[in-house]
Amino acid sequence: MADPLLNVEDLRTYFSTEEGVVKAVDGVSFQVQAGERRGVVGESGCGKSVTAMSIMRLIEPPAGEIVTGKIEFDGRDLLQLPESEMQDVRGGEIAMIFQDPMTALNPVYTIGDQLMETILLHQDVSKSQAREIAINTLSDVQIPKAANVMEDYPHQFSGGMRQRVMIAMGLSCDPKLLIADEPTTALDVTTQAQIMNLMLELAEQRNTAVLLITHDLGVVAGFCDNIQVMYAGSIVERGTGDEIFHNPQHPYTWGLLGSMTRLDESQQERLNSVRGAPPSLINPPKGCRFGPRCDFATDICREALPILHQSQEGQKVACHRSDELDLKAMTVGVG
Amino acid sequence: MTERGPVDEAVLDVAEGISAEPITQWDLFVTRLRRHRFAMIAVFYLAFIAFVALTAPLFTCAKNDTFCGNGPIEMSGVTTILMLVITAGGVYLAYTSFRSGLRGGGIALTLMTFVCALLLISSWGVIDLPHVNHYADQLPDESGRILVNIAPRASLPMGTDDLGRDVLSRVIHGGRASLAVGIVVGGLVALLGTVIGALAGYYPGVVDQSLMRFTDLVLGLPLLPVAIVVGRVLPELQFLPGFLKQGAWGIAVLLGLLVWGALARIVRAEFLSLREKEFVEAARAAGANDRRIIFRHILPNAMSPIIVQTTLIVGTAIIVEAALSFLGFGVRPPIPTWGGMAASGAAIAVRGFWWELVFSASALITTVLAINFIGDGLRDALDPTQTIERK
Amino acid sequence: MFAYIIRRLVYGIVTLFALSLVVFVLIQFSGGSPLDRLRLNPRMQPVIAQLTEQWGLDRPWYEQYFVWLKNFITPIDVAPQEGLTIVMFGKLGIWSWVAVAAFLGAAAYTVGAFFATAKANWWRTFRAFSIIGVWVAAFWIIKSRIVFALNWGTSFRGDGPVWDNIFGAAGNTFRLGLTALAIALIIGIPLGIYQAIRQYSFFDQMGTMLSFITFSTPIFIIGVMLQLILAFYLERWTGVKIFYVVGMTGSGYEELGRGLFGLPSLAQLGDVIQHLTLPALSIAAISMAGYSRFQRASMLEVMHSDYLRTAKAKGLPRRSIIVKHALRNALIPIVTLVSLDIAFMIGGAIITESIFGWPGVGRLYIGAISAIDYPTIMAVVMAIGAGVVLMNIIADILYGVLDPRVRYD
Ligand SMILES: Nc1ncnc2c1ncn2[C@@H]1O[C@H](COP(=O)(O)OP(=O)(O)OP(=O)(O)O)[C@@H](O)[C@H]1O
Ligand code: SF4
Ligand SMILES: [Mg+2]
Repeated sequence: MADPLLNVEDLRTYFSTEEGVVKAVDGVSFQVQAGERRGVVGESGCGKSVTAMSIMRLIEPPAGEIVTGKIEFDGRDLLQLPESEMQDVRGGEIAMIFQDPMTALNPVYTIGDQLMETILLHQDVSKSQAREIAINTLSDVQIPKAANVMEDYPHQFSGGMRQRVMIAMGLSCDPKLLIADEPTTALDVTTQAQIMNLMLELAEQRNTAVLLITHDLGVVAGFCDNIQVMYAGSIVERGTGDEIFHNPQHPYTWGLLGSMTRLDESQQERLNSVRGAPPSLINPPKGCRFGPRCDFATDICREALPILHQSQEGQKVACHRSDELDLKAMTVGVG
Repeated sequence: MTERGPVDEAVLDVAEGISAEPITQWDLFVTRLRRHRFAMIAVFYLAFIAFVALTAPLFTCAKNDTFCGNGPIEMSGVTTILMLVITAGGVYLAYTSFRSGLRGGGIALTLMTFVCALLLISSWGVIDLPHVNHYADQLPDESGRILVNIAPRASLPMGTDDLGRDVLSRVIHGGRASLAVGIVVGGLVALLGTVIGALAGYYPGVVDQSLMRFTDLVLGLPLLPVAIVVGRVLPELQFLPGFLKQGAWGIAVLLGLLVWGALARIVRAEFLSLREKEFVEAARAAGANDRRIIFRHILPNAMSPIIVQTTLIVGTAIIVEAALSFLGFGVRPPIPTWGGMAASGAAIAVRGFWWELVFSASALITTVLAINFIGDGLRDALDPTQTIERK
Repeated sequence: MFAYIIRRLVYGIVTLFALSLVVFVLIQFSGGSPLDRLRLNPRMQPVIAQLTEQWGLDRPWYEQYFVWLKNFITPIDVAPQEGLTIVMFGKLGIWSWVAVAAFLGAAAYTVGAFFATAKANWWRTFRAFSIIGVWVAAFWIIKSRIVFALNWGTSFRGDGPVWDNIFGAAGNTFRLGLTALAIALIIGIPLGIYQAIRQYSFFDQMGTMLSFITFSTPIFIIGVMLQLILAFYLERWTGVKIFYVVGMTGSGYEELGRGLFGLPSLAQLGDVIQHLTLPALSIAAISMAGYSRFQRASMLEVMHSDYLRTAKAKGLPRRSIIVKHALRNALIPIVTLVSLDIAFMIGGAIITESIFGWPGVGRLYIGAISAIDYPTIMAVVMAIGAGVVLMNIIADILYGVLDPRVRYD
């Protein structure tokens, strides 16, 4: 395998709050290859966004801090880069798209201003060239009459259109990696699919790797090469879309799959879903963090923290009992 | 599924940090408020001021005052001890009930009623104050001369003013005017602002339009100039009952009537947004009438801004009263007020007699500061979005 | 937009009407009379009778009110005492020069912006600056009050036409108020911004604490303390008179000699500063505390906004994130605050002016109140009310110009 584009090793990002230290990301390691589409799923608060923000080094001290870890991107450790070089990486080599397009654009500048700002920042072009690039990218994201909307303000746009602008802004400098943090959650269902297709298509054309964050397994299943499942600040299972979707090894993944809405659901009982609430990230439960909510927990689960290892089925999983459990058999109608 | 009894499951849950026992809004509020150190100090400070002002007649009589034979600080040992015991008891009571008793809300309510009653009685004294002739508080020396402008010393911790009156007793009595303003303005603003804002927010159309135009009108009145006019003519308005013409009551009512506009706007905005919420729709669908929806469903959810805003308005009102008294259009001499004392203190401070000014000003500033701290603490405690990043 | 302004104006006029009625009725019911002082002297009987007749004091209050109202909005002929050019260049004080300079600057900027920007943004710039221009022009007219006058009556205290008194005093009040405003803005806003950028630092906490205390301090205490410490005690200790505590200029001001073009000489300027500093500081202290707190809050809100995160994710350097993206947004709300402060400037200086013997509108008002000089009282109240109404509208317009999201219709 070639050198990965992004190599995250044992990343730990903590926040200090009134209540204590929130271990939002606690020992996450993964790699993304050039051009790959990688999905990250997990329920709300499991640390997906914080992982992404850590890669971009957007965690703001003093509240949050990357305690340890290594983030290698294209051969450089981002955590060691001086701020000025990091600024070139942000937006230039790694671009990020956020969840809420309604608030992600600065209300007092025109779309054109904000697009051209990025282009001028990362490319050595004149103002008029930048304008041209901006207009081209806007038409790439299928905004009609791209030249005319350059002078418009964000509030004149719908949510879907604004997210297109955000995508244009992200892709305008041909980044190597595009991090999309729940890019379609705030949009209505019909727009969601359009935007997702558009984004991935454009990324593919430019050979841009995509790190797609969502809490919707259905979305990543359709779009991603590889999927990693996060739970309470760490990765609990990682594999190809097929592996994760058809043959989950971790009880949490299995539960997530079970809680997905299915067309044929009315005909059967939902056997598996995730009960209870996510654990505290300040005092995580001892042993397996999923233990308190896991139907298969045994004594060893309460003692030792399972680490991510190769399972017999091929994907990696962090569960003591993954090999003895046959989750697939217990699932009715999945697959 | 592994076997677990319900009890044992709950215990485990707590132990494993999945969920603690259900934390109520009130607990959260109290915890957050207690974390706001300044606000806590301010609460006790205000309680102290209120207590001292309430009991003022007990221990601030001048030497030759016919009502009590002891001098201001040369109080009998018994009075001193009594005073200290009562103060300590009050503070302890407030502290313990704050620590433990507030959870149910019942004790809190009792306590608040108690404090309010205290404050009311204390400020009621303002009416009678004209009868306590403070010129009689002048302190003659052995040869019978009036001791004017005496610097602070052990027997007179705040000295005397240019008429020979004991500044400490006047500072203590002066607190009553500020308290009266605080209570009356707080009450009036909370009442008027909430009722008008709620009606406007709940009944769109004509009610909303007319109430809001009226609110705009009141907000458009320039506060200080109008207050000055009213303060000037207040004692001369024949149709007013006597107690409103003299002392702090009239001023307090006047200020209360002038400053509720901002709160009304806030409450209206709150009602407008809450009216559309699901739980209100649900209540309506369940057949609740307007009154029930307003009082049981919307109002409790709009309490935070009402409380915070009222607190801040009270601070402003106390400043305005002091300013009126300073200019001579508020509470008239010889009734002592902090603003009035600052005015006469400023006149003699030029000659080097700084104490009347400094002590009355300090009392005023610390009281307003305490109120603002409490307002700030309440805002932090009541607004859950603000707390997460605080270190 | 136009309809919106008209609607606001109509509401404003209704408010002013109500305001006048309330104050008028209050004065009438007070039972006091401006002639009370004359009554002490028995020989004044015929004068009292004559004045009662002349001022209509024996008529029912509503008749008096309508007479007052009718006069209040009736222009009177004022013989132009000097030609317009003389007014422009002869009688202008320091502030008028500042106003002229500001106006010329605004015009130059507008022209410059027109040629500099390729995009059609100039129209917005022009609108913004023509508003400032109108404001400056209004101020200018106030200064050269000879052009136009309404029949606001004659002071009961015998110091002449109320219109002249008010506008004469308004100039002085503006000198005080604008200086204070400038100090408050120049210190308060950067302070708030810096605090927000360095949130939780020692500096931030000190600043918050200080502005909290200042904000809780009544202005008269600040004024009196400044007088005592920076004037009386300082003079006692150093033996030099640095600041004055009464009046706008020293008694020998004219003898200090004029400078070029009728501008004040350096000595005169020094004298003005010695008188202006303390009252301006006491007003500025409170506004400064307010501005820095407000600016800090609004800056913090922007700093935590999603679009600032976007700006960071784009790779912008921290400087341009703060200057270009954060500041631009964080300054918008403060515009409203400042506009309202300007509106209250006339009334807001009442306390300071009476402490510092500053011959402005506030002191005029206090004097009129004591004597129940109702033409003056009414005029001051109405002027303040009108200021509030106008500045509210101007604030809204400015807001619309600065924030593209806001549209009025
Ligand atoms: N600035 C912060 N201060 C304190 N805690 C934070 C902060 N940002 C995030 N956290 C905590 O980190 C944890 C992970 O948050 P994160 O935003 O990564 O979740 P997520 O997986 O993206 O969830 P969602 O699907 O809701 O976006 C949360 O429990 C959150 O409380
Ligand atoms: S390690 Fe144990 S508790 Fe954790 S997921 Fe696997 S079976 Fe469940
Ligand atoms: Mg997230």
